[in-house]
Amino acid sequence: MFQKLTTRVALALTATSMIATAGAADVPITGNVESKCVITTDTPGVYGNPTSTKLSTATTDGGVAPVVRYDVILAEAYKAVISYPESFSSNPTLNDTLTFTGSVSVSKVSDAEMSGYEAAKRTYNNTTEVDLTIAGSTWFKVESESTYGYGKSFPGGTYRAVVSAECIAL
Amino acid sequence: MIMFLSLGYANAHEWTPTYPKLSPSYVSGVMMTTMSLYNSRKDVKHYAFSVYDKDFNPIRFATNEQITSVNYNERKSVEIYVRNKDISKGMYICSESKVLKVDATATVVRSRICSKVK
Repeated sequence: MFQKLTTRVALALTATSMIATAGAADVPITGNVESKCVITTDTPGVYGNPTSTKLSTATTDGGVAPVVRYDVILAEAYKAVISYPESFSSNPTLNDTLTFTGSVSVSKVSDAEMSGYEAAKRTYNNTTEVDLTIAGSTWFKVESESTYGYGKSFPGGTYRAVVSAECIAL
Repeated sequence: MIMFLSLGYANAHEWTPTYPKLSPSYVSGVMMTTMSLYNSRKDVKHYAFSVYDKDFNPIRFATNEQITSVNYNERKSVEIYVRNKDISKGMYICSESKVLKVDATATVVRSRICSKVK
């Protein structure tokens, strides 16, 4: 009698265990890797003011250059188009001309094969284009500098400018 | 004097699919596609949409909202409608971040992502 009961309990436990195993195996996890481009602002920029006549994001001028990261899942599907500012988006009242200069450079890459991006970049006006031919992440550093009039001091206040970062499908 | 080029944090903007396919809509002579916008930019809540031909000339299109609001870490589907006669190979469908004037302190980067209709 006791042996029969033990056998039944053992069978029941085995069956329960099988059901549990079957249940766990039936939980699906599906994933879909699709081509996409993600633009991320890694570092916000800050203008330094080394002299009263200059605003600059250069580290040597006390500024911080903004860094924008591009993540692409598929190689040769996108190009990065980045422009440094040519005007302030907000500023105190100014009554003379502003001069803007700047540059865009590849500051970091996630794949050694991307090292050619800097040499392959195309630059026109304030814009730089880079074909993202390898899947992964690329960091672009944007430098910006502005002067006011002819050696004039910037009026006190807050100055803001906008960097344009575009990802265009090829 | 405090000078900011921008103020913000690690933020991302995503616009998929890369190569959308147009399909007939419920309106005769009009094709449509559904795009997906994902906003993980804390500094941006509004996005605008645009459609261009292969030379980046604007194309007329219709959507529910020309500028839409997408909360942080939220995904939104966007239906884009284009007339058959305006459709051309190499057309771009883009989304662009917008910053309100009142939120100008959070200005970071104007991001624009363009998908291509092949």
